[in-house]
Amino acid sequence: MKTIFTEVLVVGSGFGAAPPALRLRKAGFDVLMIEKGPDLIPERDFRQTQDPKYLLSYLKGIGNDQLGFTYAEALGGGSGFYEMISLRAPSKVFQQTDNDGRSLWPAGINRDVLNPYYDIAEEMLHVEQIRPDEVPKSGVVFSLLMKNLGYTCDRAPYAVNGCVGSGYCVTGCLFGAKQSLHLNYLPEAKDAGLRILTDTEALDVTTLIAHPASTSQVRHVPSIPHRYEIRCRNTTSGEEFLIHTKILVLGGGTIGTAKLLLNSCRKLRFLGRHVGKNIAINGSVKAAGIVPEGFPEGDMFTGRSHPGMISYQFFDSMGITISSAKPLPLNVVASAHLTLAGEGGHNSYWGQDNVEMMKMYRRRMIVLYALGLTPPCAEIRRTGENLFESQLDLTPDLRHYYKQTEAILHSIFERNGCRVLNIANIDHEGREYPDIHFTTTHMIGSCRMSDTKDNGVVNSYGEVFDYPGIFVADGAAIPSSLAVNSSLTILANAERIAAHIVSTHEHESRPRIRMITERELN
Amino acid sequence: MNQLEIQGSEKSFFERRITRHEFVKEISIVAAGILGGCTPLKIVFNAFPERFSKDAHLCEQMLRAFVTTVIPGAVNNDTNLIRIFRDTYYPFCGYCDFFVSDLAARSANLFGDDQFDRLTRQQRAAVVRDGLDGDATIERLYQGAIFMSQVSYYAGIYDDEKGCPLIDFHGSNYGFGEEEMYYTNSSLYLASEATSDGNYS
Repeated sequence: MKTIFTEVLVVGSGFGAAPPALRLRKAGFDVLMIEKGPDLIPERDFRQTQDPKYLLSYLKGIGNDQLGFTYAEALGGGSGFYEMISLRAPSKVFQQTDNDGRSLWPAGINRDVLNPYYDIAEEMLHVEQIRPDEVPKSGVVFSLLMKNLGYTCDRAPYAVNGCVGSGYCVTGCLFGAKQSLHLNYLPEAKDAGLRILTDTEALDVTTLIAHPASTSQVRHVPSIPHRYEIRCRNTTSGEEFLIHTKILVLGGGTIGTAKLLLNSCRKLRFLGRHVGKNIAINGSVKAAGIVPEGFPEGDMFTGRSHPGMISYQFFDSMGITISSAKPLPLNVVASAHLTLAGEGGHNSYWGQDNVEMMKMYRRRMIVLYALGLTPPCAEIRRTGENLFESQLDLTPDLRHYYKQTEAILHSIFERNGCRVLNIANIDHEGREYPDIHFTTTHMIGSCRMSDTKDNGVVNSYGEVFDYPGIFVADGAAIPSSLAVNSSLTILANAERIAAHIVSTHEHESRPRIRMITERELN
Repeated sequence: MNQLEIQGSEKSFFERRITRHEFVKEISIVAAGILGGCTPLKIVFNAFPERFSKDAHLCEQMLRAFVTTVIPGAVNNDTNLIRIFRDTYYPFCGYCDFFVSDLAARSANLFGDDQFDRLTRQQRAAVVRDGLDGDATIERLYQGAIFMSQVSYYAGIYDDEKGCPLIDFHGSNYGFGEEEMYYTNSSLYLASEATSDGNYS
C-alpha cells in the first residue's frame, strides 16, 4: 500500500485545522492536510441556490428524534457555510462546572488567556462590529422588540468585508465578502508550502512504535520518529493508502474527530472512555412570531444572512443569549411545521392557512433563537464499521431549560403585541418529532480538554492523554457550551494549540535542508 | 379503501403462476418490506391500477392538483411544479405512482370521482386530510408529498433565478441597494447596548 511520510498531518480543513496548518508550516514543519470533502473554490463552486442536491453535497447530518447535528464536509469545513457572526465567549462560560462541582474547563484557561488568540483570529478574518447603519432590517426589528421592553441589544461582530447583501451567505458567498477560510488561512498556508489532499478520509489511527509515550520528551522534530500511521481512503476512487507522521493534528470537527478516534479505539487502547461523549449542544432554542401592523418591517431575504444583533440581557440571570435569524425559505419548510393559532385552534401547516403565513414571512416574521449554557449531554457512538449514532440525555433539567427559554422568547413577542407561531420540528421526510428536538451546528466537546484523563480525552493544550504528538485542535476539544456561536472560539483555541506546538518543538526549516541535499546529490 | 387495495394485491399475487424460485424471491422481498416497515405490500407488487403507472398525463394532472391544493396560489402550469416527484434523487420517486393511485381511490371513495384534479379545492383538501388520517404508511406518504411540494415550491429549488414570487422571494441576485437592506434611521430603533464591541465580558 502506498505510504506518504510527513512531519505533521492535519486532518480536516476547517476552523480547528487551518490555524495549526498555517502556523506549523510557517514555523518550518513539513505539513500535509487531508480533507474528507471535496475541494472548494468559492468563485467556481459556490452557488446561490437552495437545491438540496447542492447543499447536501457539502452539509451532512447525524441525529435522532431528540437531536440533530449539522456539519460540513468540504475544504474550509464549516467556514464556507457559516453566518459570519464572530463572538468571543463570555468569561462566565469558563466558570461552568459539572454536577460534582468540577470545572468543565482545564485550570488556567479562561477568557483572558484566550483573548490574544481571539485577537489573532479576528485580524485574520477581518472581524468588525457591524455599524448601526448596516444592521439588516430584521436585526433592527429584533432590537426594537428588545428596546420596547427596556432590554439591551448589541451590534454583533461580523467576519465580512465588502458585503453586497445578496442574502445567500449560508450557501457560500460568491462575492469574496464573507471571510471563509478560503480567503485567509488556507491560501496563506498554501503559499507557505502546505500540501492539501481533498477527497481523502482518515479511517483510523494506529501507533508505529511500541510505546509512543516514551517519545513525549523528544521535542527536536527531526529526531522524533514517525510514530503514527493513519489509514486513509480516497473518497472518489476508493483507493486506500497510509500516511506516517510524527505529529498528528485532528481538526475534522466535533463529529469527524470523534468518529476517527472511535474507529481507532481498538488500536489506540489507552484512549480512555470519554471519546465521543460529553458533547455540549449550546442550548439552541428557536421561536417565531409575526410583528403587528404598524411595526417596522423586517426583511428575511435581503442583506446579510444574520441580522447582526445579539442580546445579553438574560445571560447573567439565565445563561442565555438571544439573537434573531434570517433563514432562507428552504431552512424553514424543511425543518419545521410553522403554524399560526387561528379560530378554533391551530391553523394547518399546509393549504391556504400556510400560504397566508408564508406571505408574511419576508417582511413581518421574526425568528429568534437562544443559545445557552446547557451542560454536556450528548454522545456519538460507534455501532459498526464506520457506522455511528448520536444520543441525547434529555434530562428533566434540559427539558426545563427548553421550556423556560422558549417561554422567554414567546414573552418577548407577546409583550410587543406579536402573534407567536407554533413550531413543530420535522425530520427529512416531513414527519413531526414526537418530543422536544434540539438542532445545532454548534456541537462541541466530543473529545474534551480536561486536567486529567479521568474527565477528558486531551490535556489543556489539546494533546491526547498517553499519546504524545496527537492533538485535537477543533470543536471536539472545547469542553462546554459557549452560549454564543462557536466558530471564533474554536479558531482562537486552535491558534493557542498551534502556538503551543510551535513553542515546544525545535525545528530546522525543512525546505532549506532539502535544497542542500538535492544540490549535493547532483 | 386500504382494505380493498390489500385484498386486490393478495388476489394478484396468488392468482399468478410463478416458479418456486420466484415465489421465494418475492416472499423475501415482502418480508424485507414488512420488517423494514417502510414499503407496504401493495407498493412492492405495484398492486394498484395499471393506468397510474402508464398514463403520464393523468398522473401529472393529479400531481399538479395536489400541489395547488397544498399551496393555493401556486401556478398550475409552472414547468417545475411537480418535477420533484419524478426526481430520482429523492426516494419518493419510487412511490409516486402509488401515491397518485391512492389520491384517486380516496377521491372516488369520498366524492364518487376518482379524478382528484376534477374535484373542487375544498374536496381536494378533504382528500388530503383523509390521506393524512390514513394508516402509518399512508400518512407518511402524504406527509412526504406535502413536504416535497413545499420544499420545491417555496425554495424554488429548480429555478435559482426565479425564487418564489408567491412569497416575494427573489432567488439568486447580485446584491441590493442600501435602501432595500437598511433603514436610514435605524439608530432610532436600536436598543441600548451592554458592551462596547459586541462581546460580553
